[in-house]
Amino acid sequence: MFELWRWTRRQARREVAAPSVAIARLMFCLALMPGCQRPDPIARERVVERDQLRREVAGFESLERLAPGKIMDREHEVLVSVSDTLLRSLLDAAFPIPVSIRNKLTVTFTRAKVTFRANVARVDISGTVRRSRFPQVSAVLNMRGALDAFVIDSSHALRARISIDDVTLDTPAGAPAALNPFVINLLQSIVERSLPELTESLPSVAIPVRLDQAMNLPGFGPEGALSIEPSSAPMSVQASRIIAFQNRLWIILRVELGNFATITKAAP
Amino acid sequence: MKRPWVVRVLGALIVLPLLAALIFVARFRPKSDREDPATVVREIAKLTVQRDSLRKIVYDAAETSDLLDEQPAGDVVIGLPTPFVDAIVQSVVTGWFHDVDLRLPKIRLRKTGEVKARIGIFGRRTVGAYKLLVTLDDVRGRLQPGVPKLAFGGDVITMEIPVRVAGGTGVAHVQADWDSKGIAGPVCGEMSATGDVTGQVRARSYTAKGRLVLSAVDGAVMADPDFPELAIRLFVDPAASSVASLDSMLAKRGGLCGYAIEKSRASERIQELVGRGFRVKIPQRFFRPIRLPVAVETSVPVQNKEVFLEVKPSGLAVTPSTVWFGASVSTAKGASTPPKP
Repeated sequence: MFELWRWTRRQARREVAAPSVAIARLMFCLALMPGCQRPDPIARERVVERDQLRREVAGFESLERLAPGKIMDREHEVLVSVSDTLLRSLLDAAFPIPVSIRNKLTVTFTRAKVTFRANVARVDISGTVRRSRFPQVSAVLNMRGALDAFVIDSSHALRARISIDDVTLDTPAGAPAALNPFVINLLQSIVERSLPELTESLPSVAIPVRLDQAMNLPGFGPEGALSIEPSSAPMSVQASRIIAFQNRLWIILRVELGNFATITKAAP
Repeated sequence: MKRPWVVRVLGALIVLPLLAALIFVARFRPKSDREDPATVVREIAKLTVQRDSLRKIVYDAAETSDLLDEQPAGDVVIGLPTPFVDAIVQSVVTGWFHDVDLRLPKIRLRKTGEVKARIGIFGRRTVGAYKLLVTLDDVRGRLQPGVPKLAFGGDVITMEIPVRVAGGTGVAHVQADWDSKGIAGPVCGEMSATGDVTGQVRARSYTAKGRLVLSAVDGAVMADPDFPELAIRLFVDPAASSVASLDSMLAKRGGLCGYAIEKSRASERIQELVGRGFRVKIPQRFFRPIRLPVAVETSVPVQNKEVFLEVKPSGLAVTPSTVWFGASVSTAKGASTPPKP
C-alpha cells in the first residue's frame, strides 16, 4: 500500500498541471484497501483441502467404478508402478524453470516435492517471484497441486501433467530486500490470475516406460513348404486409472490389441 | 456562484477511481474469498467420509489381491496379469499362423511293376509291366491355430498349440506307360496315357508343444519360443470323378489288352502312392520371438532436453497371476542432451 502511495505521489509531483490525477489515484488506492487485505489463511487452507479431497474421491471412484473390488480388468489392463524416489528425481531434472508473466513478473520454479496422499501424487513446487522493474526484491512462491491427466503422447511416452490447486506468496524469512505485505498480496492476485499460464509452463513428467503401438511379427521363409509374410497388429494403449499405494504410483493402462494383418511392401 | 463543472470533475475524480478499484478488487479476489466458508467446511466433512470409505475398499482389494504377490523390487515395475499375457500370446500365436500357406514343391512319384494274370489253359503268366509317374506340382494346404493352452510358472510359460491343416487342393499329372509281355505282347504292344488327377488336402490336427522362455532384454520382456521341430503330413485324397476319368482313359482297349491293363489296377496304385502323404517340417525358427508391449525406457524428454537413465533389471518373475518385470532406474549424472531437431 505504502509503495503504491509513494508511486502516486511521485506521479503527482511530475505532473504539476494535473493535481486531479493524484486525487484520482489516491481514491483508487483507498478503495483497493479492503481488497488488498491478506485473505484468511484458514479459509484458504480449507478450499485447498476441499479441492484435494475432490480429486482423491474422483480417483477412488474411477478405480471402483471400472473394476469393483478387483483393482483392474486383468484381461485388458497392465500395471506400471513408479517409486516416489524416481518421480522426484525426474521432476528435479526439469528445474529451475523461469517464466515471465506479461513482462511484469518473473516467476522461477526452483524445486518440486512429490508426496503420496490417498490415491493422489501431490506435488509441492517452490520458487520465487520478482517484479521485472525491481529484480532485486523477491517473494517466495509455493504452489500445491498433483500429478494429473496421465496421457500417452505421440512419441508413445507416458506423461503426467501437474495440476495446481493453490498458490501462495510470502516474504522470504530473514530477507531484508523482500517486498512489503501489500505488494505481496497484489502480486498474489496477479499470480493467481495467471495460474493457467503458470501451469502450462510446468514440466510434464515423462514416466520412463515405452508403450508399443503395434505388435509386429517378422516374416518367415520361403523355406521348404513354408512362406509367411510379415504381419502387424495395431495396439491402442490408454492410461486408465492411477493409485498411490505403498509409496509408489500405480498407473493402470488399458491395452487393446487388434487383429494381425499382412504388411504389404510399399512399391519401390 | 455555482460552478457545476467543478462538482462534475470532483465527482469523476472520486467515483470513477472508486468504481475501477471495486471492479479490480472483485476480479482479483482470492478464490477462498469467493466461496462460502460454511459450505466448504460441510463439503470437506462429506468428502472425507466418502474418501475414507472408498480408500478402505480399494486398499483392501489391493492388499488381498493375488495380483501383487511376489512383485520384484525396482523403481519401475511392470506387472502383466496372466490373463492379459494369455490374450496377447493367443493373438501372437494366431499371428504366427496368420496366412500360412503350405505349398509343396514339385514332387515326382514313381511306381513300376509287373502284372501277372491267369490266362485260361496257359495258367498264371506275366502279361505286362506298368510304369506310373505322378507329378504333384500344385499342392496347397493352410494352417490354422486352435486356442493354445498356457501354464505360467518359474520364468517360463509352457504352451500347447493345436494346429490344424485346414484343407487345400492338389493337382497331380499322371503318366501311365504299359508294356505288354508274354502272350499279350504281340497283340497289345506298348501304350501310354496321360491325364490330371485333382484332389483335396485332408484336414488333420496336430499339437505343437513347447514353451516360451522369458528374459529381460533392453528394458523389455522377451518371450523366446522353445519348440521342437513340428512334422506335419499332408494327405491328398484324389477326387473320385478324377480317378474315374483316368480309369476310363486306360480302359479304352478291349479284349486281352483291356483285361491285362485292368489287372494293373493303375488307379489304385496311384491312390496308394499319394495316400502315404507328404511330410512338411515346421522348423523351430517358425516360432518367432514375442516382445511384450510395455518396456522400461532408457531416456526421457524433460523440458527441452533428453535425460538419460541407468536401467538395471532387478527382477523377472512369473507367478500364476502376474508376469513381473522390475528395474532400478536412476538419472545418469550429466547425461542429458538437447533433443534432436
